[in-house]
Amino acid sequence: MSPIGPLLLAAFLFSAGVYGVIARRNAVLVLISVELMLNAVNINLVTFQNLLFPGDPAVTGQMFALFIIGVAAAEVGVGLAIVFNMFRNRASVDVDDADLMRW
Amino acid sequence: MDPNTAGWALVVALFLPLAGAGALTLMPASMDREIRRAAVAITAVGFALVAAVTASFDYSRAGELQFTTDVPWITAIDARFSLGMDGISLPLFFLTSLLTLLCAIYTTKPLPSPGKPKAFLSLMLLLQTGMAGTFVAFDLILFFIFFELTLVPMFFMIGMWGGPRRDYASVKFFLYTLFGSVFMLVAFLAIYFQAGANSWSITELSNMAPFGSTTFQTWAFLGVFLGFAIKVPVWPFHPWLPDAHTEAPTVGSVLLAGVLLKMGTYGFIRIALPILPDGAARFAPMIGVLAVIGIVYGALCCLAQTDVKRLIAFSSVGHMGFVMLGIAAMNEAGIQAALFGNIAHGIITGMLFFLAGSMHERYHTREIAVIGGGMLKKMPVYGVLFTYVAIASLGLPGLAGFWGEFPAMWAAISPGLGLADSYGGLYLGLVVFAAIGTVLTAGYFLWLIQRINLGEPTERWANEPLADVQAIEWVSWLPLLALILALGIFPRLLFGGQDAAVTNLVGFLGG
Amino acid sequence: MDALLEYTWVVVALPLLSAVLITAVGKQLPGKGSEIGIAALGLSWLLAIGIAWQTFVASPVEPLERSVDWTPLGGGFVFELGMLVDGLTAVMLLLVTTVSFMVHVYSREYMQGEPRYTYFFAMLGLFTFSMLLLVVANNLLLAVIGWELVGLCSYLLIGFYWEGKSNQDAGNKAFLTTKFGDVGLIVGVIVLSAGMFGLTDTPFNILEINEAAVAGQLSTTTIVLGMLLIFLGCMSKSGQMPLHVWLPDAMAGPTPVSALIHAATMVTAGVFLLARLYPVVAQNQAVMATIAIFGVLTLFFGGLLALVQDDLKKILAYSTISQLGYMVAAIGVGGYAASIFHLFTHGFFKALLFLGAGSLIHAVHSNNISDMGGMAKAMPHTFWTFIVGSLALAGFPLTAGFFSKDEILIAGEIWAGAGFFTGSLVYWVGLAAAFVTTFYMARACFLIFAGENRSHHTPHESGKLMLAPLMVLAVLSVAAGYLLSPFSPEQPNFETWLATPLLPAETTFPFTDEGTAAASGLVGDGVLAAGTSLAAAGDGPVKVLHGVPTWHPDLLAIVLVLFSLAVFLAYRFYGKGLPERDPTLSMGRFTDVLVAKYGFDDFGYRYIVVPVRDKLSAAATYSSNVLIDGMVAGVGRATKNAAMTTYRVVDQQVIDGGINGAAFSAAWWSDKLKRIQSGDVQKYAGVLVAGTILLVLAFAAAR
Repeated sequence: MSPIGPLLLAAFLFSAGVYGVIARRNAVLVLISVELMLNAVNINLVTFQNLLFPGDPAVTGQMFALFIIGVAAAEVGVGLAIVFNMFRNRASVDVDDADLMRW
Repeated sequence: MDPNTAGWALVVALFLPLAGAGALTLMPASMDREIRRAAVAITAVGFALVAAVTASFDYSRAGELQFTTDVPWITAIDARFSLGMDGISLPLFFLTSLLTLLCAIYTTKPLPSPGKPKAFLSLMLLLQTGMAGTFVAFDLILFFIFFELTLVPMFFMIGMWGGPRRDYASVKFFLYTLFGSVFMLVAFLAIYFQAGANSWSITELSNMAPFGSTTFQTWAFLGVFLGFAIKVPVWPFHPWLPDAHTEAPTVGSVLLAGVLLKMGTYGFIRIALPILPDGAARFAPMIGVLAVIGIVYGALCCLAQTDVKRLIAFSSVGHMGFVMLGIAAMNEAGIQAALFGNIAHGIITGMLFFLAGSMHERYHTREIAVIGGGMLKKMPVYGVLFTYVAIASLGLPGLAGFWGEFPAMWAAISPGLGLADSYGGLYLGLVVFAAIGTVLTAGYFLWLIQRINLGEPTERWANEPLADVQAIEWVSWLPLLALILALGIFPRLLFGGQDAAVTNLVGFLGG
Repeated sequence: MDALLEYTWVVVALPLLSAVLITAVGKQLPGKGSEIGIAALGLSWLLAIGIAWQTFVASPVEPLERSVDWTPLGGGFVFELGMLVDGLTAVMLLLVTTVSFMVHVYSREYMQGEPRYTYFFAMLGLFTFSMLLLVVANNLLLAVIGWELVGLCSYLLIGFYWEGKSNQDAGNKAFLTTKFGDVGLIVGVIVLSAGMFGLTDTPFNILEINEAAVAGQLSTTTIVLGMLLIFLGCMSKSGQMPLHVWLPDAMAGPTPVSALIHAATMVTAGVFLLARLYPVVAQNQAVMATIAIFGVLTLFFGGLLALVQDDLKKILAYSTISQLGYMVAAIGVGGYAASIFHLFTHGFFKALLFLGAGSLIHAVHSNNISDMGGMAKAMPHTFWTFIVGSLALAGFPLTAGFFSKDEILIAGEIWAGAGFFTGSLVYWVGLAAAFVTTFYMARACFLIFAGENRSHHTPHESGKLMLAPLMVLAVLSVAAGYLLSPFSPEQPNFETWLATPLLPAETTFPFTDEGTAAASGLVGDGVLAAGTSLAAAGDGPVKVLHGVPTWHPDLLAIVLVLFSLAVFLAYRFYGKGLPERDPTLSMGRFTDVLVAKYGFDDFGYRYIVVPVRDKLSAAATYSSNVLIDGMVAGVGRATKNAAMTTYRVVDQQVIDGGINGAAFSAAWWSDKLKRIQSGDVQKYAGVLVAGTILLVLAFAAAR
């Protein structure tokens, strides 16, 4: 199987994620964009495992993908909690409003 | 105590205050009086131990290290825990212990706002360990740590209990000294690597000296010079001093003038000269010039002051100038004079700051014009003490100040290390200007006495009840007053004890 | 025999003991401490007499030196605490203890009722101790210590009435002016000792320095530089122009203190030190000439100033300056013994005059001679003692002042005979100044004792305690002169008393410069003192020490004529109680009177007296009070301004400002840079991505 398809997809997903993280104002959408980037990485991991070590019984790439999915779930949990708290305190999920760490 | 084996005595004397500081912090802050008494007790026990050490010191071998402790400490960088004491360290160690005791006694009087004697006394005890350690550490790393340890407590002393500009003064003090220390540390590192002996031991490095090229010696000396010169302070590195002295609480000023400044000159004598003799020889004329500028300049600045405490602070610049002139002479007489001047200035100026502090407590001002004279009428005993100490400070023979000034000038007439041949004329000029400095010094002190002590009290104070010297003040001042006279009449007390050690030290210079 | 000399230190220690005891217990005693002072000084005095007697009868004696190593100074050098007892020491001990004892006795009555009575006696003791310490010191460092302590005591005693501003200023002025001279002294001592470094472990030792100088072991630079600097110190202490300015102001102190300062304890210090180091001084003629010239200037112009004073103590003060000029000039023309002889006799009669002045002031409650008059009747004892003192000061034949002053003039004559210009200068200017001295003393005496009482008090004779010292001193003011006069035995006399192995009778002419020495005709002989004229020595080497002074009819005649002339003029001006018409020397009236009565006087007045007394002395006063004082004040102001500028501009702005500038610029930059820290995480991410892309591109390009 040609790796071009998955890699292109991963690149597209990653770029979309980067765009989302940088440009979106809504904190939920920023979180979703982060997920996009993580998933792009997952695709790459699986792709390269199959490309470089086909038939290797130690499927390291896949293992990492699984880890990332797990961590991503936790991260979304924490992230959403922060967003909820932010919404509760400020009645807004706009990331521009969250500038408490300014100088 | 056997000076050869009783290294424990020095360790105990050194860390007792530190332990005491810890103990004080455990006492509840409400036990105000008990805390003050405990501090006096701790410093008194410490002083008793130091007095015992002084008594059992073997003066016939004053040139050798006694009461030594030498154990591995941080093996990864070859640093050792190395303590010891010779004829040069002993007087300074003794002075540190004595002054802290007197300060503790003095602190039984009310503290300036915000009070908090527990914090204050703990800091003071911590400071004592730092100061005392500097004078007995014989390992560069250990020395550096003690040297820097003094910064923090003094910073808080000035910053919390100081005068109106305390924030400015404390930060200035901290930054200046830290700035110098950085270069000093770099120079220490350079010395360590250049010597290549895997040792920080001051004695070992002195024995190896001179090592490295002239360039190395010059740069290393410059680094060490910056560190110590700021501490002394040598003109033009002095501006931190008047601010720190003026803003510091009385006890802070006393310890600052009495001991902290001495760490700089001690460092020159103990480290800079013997380890880097070539660098020292190259820098000596410059040090001499800066010292004499400091003498004249300090006196001129004193003439312009309107604040008693600031005036005394500037007088330190001049007096430390004499000490540096002695060092710049690079011969035995010069080092002797410098060490004597060190102790004499510590006692006299420390005493002057005690007096200035008490004056402020009574008049609630330090402005000379506001006090406006008549103190001899108003507080006769106090006025006499003030005159006595001022006269001691202007270098009158028979009192301690003289033996720091005259011998320094005398030594500078024929500097060692071959400087007499190349810079003889310069040094003669230095002596002349230093002598002129003594006239200016006499001038501002007499003027100060005239404006504060003599004449009739002004209307503002005429009917004000001002207490003369109190009992607690007598207790904390008498030892200093007596020492001023004793050292003036029996200079051998210091010169004699130091002689062998200084001879040893100048031996390292190869002069 | 020498046993007594071994105890010389007791003479020094007793006054110190007295000062300490008085401070400790003085107030509890019935006499408020004065009895301790008197007892201590009395003992000290007796011992000093014994020492003086021993050294005198056996003179010339070997100097006795006793010392203990007091402290090491580093480099193997040692500071000794020691005493050097020879004729010179003995003379000074005798003088100082005598005057001090008299002053103590006198003060017990004089200071009665004054504030700080006990303190006063303690200070007198300390003052005496300091001077004695200087006198017996066997090394220059110890001498410096005594010297500085003398300065301190003078400060404390001149400013004794410290409630008044002018008294404080006077004290400060005395201390600071002398302290300025001390710059010279200290550096000079250091330079001399530096010359000794290779030779001895005790580089300050006076005997060793003198020996080294005579042996030619000191370089010319050392000698010239060292001695000129030390002379600067002597100028300030011994009131040589232009550093005399403190001396008249020092009259602010109590009168017994003035007596002590002017006769024995302070102003003599400079002359003493020059005499102590005479073997060094005499090595170089430039040094000698400098000393002589300053001495001559002082003896003449200092004396002139006394002419226009109204304050009795100031008249005496200016006369002291003038007499000190004689002593210093004598040193400069080789009159070593003459100088000390004059110092010795002057001590007695000047103490007498000051104590007499105190007695007068006590009676009329004023210092001004215009407020006195007619005192002879009311105060007969003060009167005759004061007159004896004045005669001695004026150099009236057969008084002590006559023998000692003429000794100096003869020294000048001999020096001139040896081809030195300064010799004639001393001789002729000295004579002129003697005339001036006689005139102002006569003026003072007439205004005080003659005529009517102009004070607002009824004068009364002082008590016994004040009169006894006056009488003792009066006797000494005459008797002391016979130690070195044509009546004295060949040996011992004052000259042999002062002689030491270094300055023996047959001492070599000290100039090491062979050419000058040969030209001078004094090779191989001494100029220790000027006892005989050159002619007396014949063609051979001059033996000035051999034989007692002879009469010099020519000089005697000149002195007598000048004396008569001066007294005559003074009598003409002041003998008839003139102040009634002319209380403050208002010149108009005075001129009228003279013009009306004596045409002869008119001439002398217009062409001699007016120019001398009013123009020249006024100019001298002006130069003293306005120019030199002004210069000192100007230096003071300039120093103060320099101090202010240094502090405000250099210290506060340049140095401190530079440091603060560094701190502030750091703050400014950090303010600008912190804006990047916007807290907007998305911006950070954007920058991060942009940075990554840039780095990737950069690495790609680098490939």
